[in-house]
Amino acid sequence: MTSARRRAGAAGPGLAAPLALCLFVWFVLPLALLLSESFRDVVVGQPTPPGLTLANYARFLLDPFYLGTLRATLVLGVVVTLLALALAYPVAYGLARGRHRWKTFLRLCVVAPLLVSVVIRTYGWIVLLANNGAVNQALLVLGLVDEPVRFLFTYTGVLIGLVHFALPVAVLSLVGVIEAVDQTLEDAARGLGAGPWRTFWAVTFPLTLPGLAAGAMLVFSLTVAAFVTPALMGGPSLVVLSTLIYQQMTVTLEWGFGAAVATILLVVATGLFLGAQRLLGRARGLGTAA
Amino acid sequence: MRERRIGRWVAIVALAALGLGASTEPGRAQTREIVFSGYGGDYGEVMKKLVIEPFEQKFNAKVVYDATGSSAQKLAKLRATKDTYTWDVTVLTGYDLLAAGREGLLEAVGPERIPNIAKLHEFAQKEGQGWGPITSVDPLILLYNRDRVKPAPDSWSVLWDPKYKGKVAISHVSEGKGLFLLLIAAYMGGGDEKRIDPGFGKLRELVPNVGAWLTLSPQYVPYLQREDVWLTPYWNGRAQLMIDQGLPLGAVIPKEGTLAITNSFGVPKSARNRALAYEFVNFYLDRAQQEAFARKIYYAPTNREVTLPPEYAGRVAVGAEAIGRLRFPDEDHLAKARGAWVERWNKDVYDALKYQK
Repeated sequence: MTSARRRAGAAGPGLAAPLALCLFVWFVLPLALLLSESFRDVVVGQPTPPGLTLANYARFLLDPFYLGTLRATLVLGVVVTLLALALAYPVAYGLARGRHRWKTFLRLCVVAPLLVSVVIRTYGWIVLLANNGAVNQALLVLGLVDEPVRFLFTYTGVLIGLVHFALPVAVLSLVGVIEAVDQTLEDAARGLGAGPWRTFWAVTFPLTLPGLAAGAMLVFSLTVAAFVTPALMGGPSLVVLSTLIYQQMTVTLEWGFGAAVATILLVVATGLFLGAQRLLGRARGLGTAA
Repeated sequence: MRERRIGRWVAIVALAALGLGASTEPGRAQTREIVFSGYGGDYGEVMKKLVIEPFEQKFNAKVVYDATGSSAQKLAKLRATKDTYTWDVTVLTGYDLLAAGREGLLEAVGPERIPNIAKLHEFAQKEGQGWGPITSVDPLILLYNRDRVKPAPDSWSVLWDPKYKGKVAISHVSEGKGLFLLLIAAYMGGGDEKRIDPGFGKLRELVPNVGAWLTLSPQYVPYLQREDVWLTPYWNGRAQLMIDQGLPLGAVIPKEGTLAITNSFGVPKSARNRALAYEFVNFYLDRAQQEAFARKIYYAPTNREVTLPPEYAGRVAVGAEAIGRLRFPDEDHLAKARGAWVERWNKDVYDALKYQK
């Protein structure tokens, strides 16, 4: 037993080598390049001068407009995360607990959007949500509104697009956790006189919290990095960091500033991520202690 | 033990892969082959059929077509790869060509290397210090829905008409159409490239009329098809193609005049097969290719010898007189000022939208 485990442990580095190599070449190196670029003073139409500068960071951090875009990005991330998880939980619960024949089919339905490029999905939403689109036509026919509701280039439109984008990931991260909950615990709660509602809130839900937290982190990082949906549906009233980075990197070619914005997003998102994990760890620690 | 062997296998496979890559690379240089970087879509199809295929036959060569990215993205790639071979010839918009040239990324060319340059209109013979000839120009026109916008507009000011609230599409200033609209707005307000404030002022006034904030040209098509928007500044070539496809659209050069964007071909310093690259540019500037291209894509040719049948009148600017009516922006200044304008646009429009609510 121990020798087998030791052998498996020793094989670890060897087996991980290809992945580590890939990560190094395609992730760590580009990231290092990005970081070094963010300290360079790139001026379009001139060879880049040597030497390092903090000007790119100052330009972002001392400007209320850019700080506003950072805040908008994070708020959008939080709102989408909450909405996606709230919508995903009942679906995941149904998938995990349901005993119907359609289970496999339903799972496929949940995963299906992932098989379609996010660009196509976004264009789908644009067609549906346009002023002359299907949603507005339905609302008009039903007499719910008198004139078309503006969805495109508004916050609501971006929210709809992003929640849809994040939903499959949220569902998938919850199904496994809900399935793993030991149902005898629920039976015990029921046996001790708790109703189904109380059983859920007192037993099932707390046990799925780690899954919810993992799902939240996943959805949050996907959302703050999402580019296509805000770029195509957002318009200028919602400038988020991803669209800002795209502008700097591929249009104005002010790479130094673009790299600085990318680094700031990375640092802030990672910081929130680690902070949340720490908080969660502490909460779990308290839970077991109690 | 076994683990170490696995590690060694990984190393061998990796080295073999690297070795294979390295050994095939020089082999390709021996063939008569160039890589041309152009645009996708209709442009790519026409380019392949009307230019690349005849060129390949005539010169017994192969042209690899790289259709990825916009002009700015091509400049970005050139800059990122710098001394590493990427393409032998690339299309670039005027201001991107100037930026690339000034950053030392392009070969200087003139009639001694590309004889057909001498046949171009004078303004097209040389961009910057000869970083490329202007191969075609495309004016920004006012595109409108013929069924909805009556009478047919003849002035840019129709974009500001309160009658068309929410029915105008405009592009972000980071893209050519938005950039040129900013300049046209500046001219209308008494400014120009160097005095841009009136332009931003007028764009701010335009905000309530804007119903779609778009960027890349293909993005516009569904909005125009569904009649979500009725009016937009758009490129002439693509507009004429949509009209040919039967959309109820009209394209007009307003009475205030308009700006035209220039397309250029540049030969990167990192090009591998320079002689053939110059032949290719020269071939494209030939009267036959220039004419065929103008007929299909409606880009105005820069070769002085090109003539088109009368049915093209008003649809493509051909000849010194028609081209003389177009205005060309100070591209040098655009290349420098664009970054600051993008930032200002982001902030201004954000602000205007906030107060609109």
